[in-house]
Amino acid sequence: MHHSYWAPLFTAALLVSTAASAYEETGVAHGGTIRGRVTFLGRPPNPRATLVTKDVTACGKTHIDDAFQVSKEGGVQDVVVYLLDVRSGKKWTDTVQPTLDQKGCHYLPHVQVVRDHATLQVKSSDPVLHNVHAFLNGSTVINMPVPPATSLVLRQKLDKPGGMQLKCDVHAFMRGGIFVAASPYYALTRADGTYEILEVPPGSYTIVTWHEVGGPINEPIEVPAGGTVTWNARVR
Amino acid sequence: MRWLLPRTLAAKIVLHSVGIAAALALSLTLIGYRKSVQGLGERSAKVLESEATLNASLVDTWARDRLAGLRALANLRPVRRLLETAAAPVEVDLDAADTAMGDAIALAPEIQSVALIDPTGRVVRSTDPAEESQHFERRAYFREALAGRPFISGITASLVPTEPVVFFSVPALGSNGTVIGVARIQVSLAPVRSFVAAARDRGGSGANGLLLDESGLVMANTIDPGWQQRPIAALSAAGERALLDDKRWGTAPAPLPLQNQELAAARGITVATAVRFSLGGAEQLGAAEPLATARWLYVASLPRVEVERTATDLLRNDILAALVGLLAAIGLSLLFARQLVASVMRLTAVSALIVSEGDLTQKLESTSDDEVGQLTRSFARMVEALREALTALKASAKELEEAGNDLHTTMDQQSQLIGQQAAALQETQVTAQEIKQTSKLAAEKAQAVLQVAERAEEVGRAGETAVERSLGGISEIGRRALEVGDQIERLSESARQIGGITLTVKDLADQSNMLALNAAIEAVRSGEHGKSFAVVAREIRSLADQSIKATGQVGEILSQLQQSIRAAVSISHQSNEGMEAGLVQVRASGTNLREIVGITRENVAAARQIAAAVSQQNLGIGHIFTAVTDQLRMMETVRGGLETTHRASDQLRAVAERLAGTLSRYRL
Repeated sequence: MHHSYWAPLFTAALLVSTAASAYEETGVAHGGTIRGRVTFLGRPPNPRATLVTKDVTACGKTHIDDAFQVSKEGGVQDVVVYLLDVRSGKKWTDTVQPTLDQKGCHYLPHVQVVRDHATLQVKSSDPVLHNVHAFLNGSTVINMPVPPATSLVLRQKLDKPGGMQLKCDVHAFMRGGIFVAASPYYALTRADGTYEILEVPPGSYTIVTWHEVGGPINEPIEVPAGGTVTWNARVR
Repeated sequence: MRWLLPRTLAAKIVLHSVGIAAALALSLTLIGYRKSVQGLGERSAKVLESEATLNASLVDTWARDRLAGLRALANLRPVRRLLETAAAPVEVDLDAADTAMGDAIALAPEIQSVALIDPTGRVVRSTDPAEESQHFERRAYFREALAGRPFISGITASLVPTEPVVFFSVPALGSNGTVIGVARIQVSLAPVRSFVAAARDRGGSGANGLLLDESGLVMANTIDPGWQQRPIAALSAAGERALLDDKRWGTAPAPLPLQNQELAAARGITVATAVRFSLGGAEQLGAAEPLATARWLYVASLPRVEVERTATDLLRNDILAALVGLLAAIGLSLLFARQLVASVMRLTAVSALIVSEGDLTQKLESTSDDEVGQLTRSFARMVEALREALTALKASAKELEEAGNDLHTTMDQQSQLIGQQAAALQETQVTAQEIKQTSKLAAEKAQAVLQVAERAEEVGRAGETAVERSLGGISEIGRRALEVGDQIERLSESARQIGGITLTVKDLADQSNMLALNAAIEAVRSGEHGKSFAVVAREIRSLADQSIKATGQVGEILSQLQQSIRAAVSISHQSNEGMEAGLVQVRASGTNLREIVGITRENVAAARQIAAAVSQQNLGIGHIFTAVTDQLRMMETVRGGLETTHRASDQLRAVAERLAGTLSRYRL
């Protein structure tokens, strides 16, 4: 008696949750644009060099800390600016097969954005062993040893939206980031810290920044139909 | 002029209502206008004052917060240590100072850079690395802070970004209390400009805000963007040079002054002050408020013409409202007058109809509660009451007429009856006259009987004597005396009968007397009682008849008595012859004779009584005759009364006819 009663409700709840999480490509009329610049708050740190003691031939004698890449004018590169909880809108424009390479003991690209449920291809161009370890809010999402074989391509499906820090368990100085986007409404800041998000359906949103080490910024924003809104942020 | 005055009630009401409404509207409009002009002036002053206070305190609070943040930075240990070891800074202190400066810059988005300057004016560390190793020893903010005074600059041009900025600086003190350097922030004026921009039109149409720095340069304003950074009035040569030295306009020359002397005069005030100035020839009312933290001045202003325009608008609205009110008053009074006058006109028409045609059947109705409604209802009640009264009067007149007619008929019948009564009485009088004569006759006869009886007594006495004398023939006399005795017996019988009749006559006389008395009483009450009187009269007549008959009987009996007595006498004569034969018997008879004489004596007494009775009766009949005569006289009086009543009933009939004639004028 009871399960015949509860079963349809349960199914409905499941459908609702699935529908809520899935992004729909519906197209946008009179979309607005968000553009701006992300700058460093305070004095930009001087690039620090770390002495390398392991796999010097592959990694070099020193490793420059590239967590913050700040331009002369203070612009911060590789900051993900995105809108929270957008359910529908423009089409995805990202690559279908994102790739993470490891070269000279650096992650390439240093920071990248992949769409939700995408399959990441992991490879290594170094003749040494790496171990890709990704954390999402402190929890391990990827923990993948990558042997020094250039032709080997490993795959990892990414199902949890959010920004992940990348670390190498073999080379502690290696840093990088992957942001899993739930919607195509995101941008990665350029070298001068500028960005733009296009075709935003008019309305109220929460705009958020994510940086591999910088603190996130979270603010409300209003996007006018067909107009442009400027939103600047200072991170550190 | 009289033709100007309205004649109808409606026109009067309308004229009065409109007059009152117009007077009210006019006076209220005037009072309202005067009050509102005064109130608007006061209100505008208050608005300007509060506008000035609001923005001044907003800017003030903002400046105080910035200064407080900077003081906190200058007081931090790593910052002081860095300044103390500025010549050869340690990496750790640099990192710590960087973090602290990052914290300071994070306090507000408008803070563009933070710099730590050593006492020589060299920048030791800045959030903008381009500033490092530059020298700011000529800048006011450095010199003032180095002298130990926290400082807020005026508006200053910024090279990058191009937006003008202000500088805040505070001294950093060493462990011995001496100034070891200066902490300085460069802050965008964007928040201040947004505070000032918000003042546009806020206090009223054309409201403006203006912020001047300590040198009189325009920091922010809503009047003209071209005013930015220009002096409000011409600067002194020394002042201008000082500002150029301070790079207040960057590398540009001093801009042209605005030459607004009235506003320039407001500088240096210490409390909120009302100011007046002109903008492009238009007079402005303003309130100037000095800031507490910075040496800046905020001015809120409102064009005077706007204040007055509001009053003019108000007057126009007042006039419009008054006109609308007036129209409403006209409309309402027309409506009211129509209603009121309709009721009054209906009342007038109905009363006119009642007066001219006597039509009381008109219906008047009103549902209104006002005085006219009450008047209408009262009038309707009055008409109804009048109608009821006249209807009742009409009925009464009819009854009166009928009563008059009835009375007339009755009078006729009564006078007829009275006539008959008079005739009957006349007859009664004649009969009574006859009874009187007969009675007289009876009395005379009775007198004769008495004389005869007396003679019989004498005869009896003589017989006794004869018996005495003729003892001889006493036996014979005795026998004859027996016969005489029989006769005398019969005589005695007759005499007794006479006695009865006499009694009857006496009774009759008594009754006649009573009846006569009744008749007299009845005659006094005239009218219908005349009939009773006729009955009494008839009774009297029949009694009179019986009296006559009784009297006749008395006569017959008396003659029989005479005969009997005569026979007794002759028998007595015969007995004288046989006297000698029977003397002894005579003696015996003499005794019997004496008894006869006794009886005869009794007869005489009876006859005397009869005579007295008849005489009494005669007297009664005389009374009856007198009574009847009196009645006849009274009858005449009654007839006279009837005549009068007859005339009165005729008058009654005439009055009833006149009343009916009057009432016929009204339709009921």
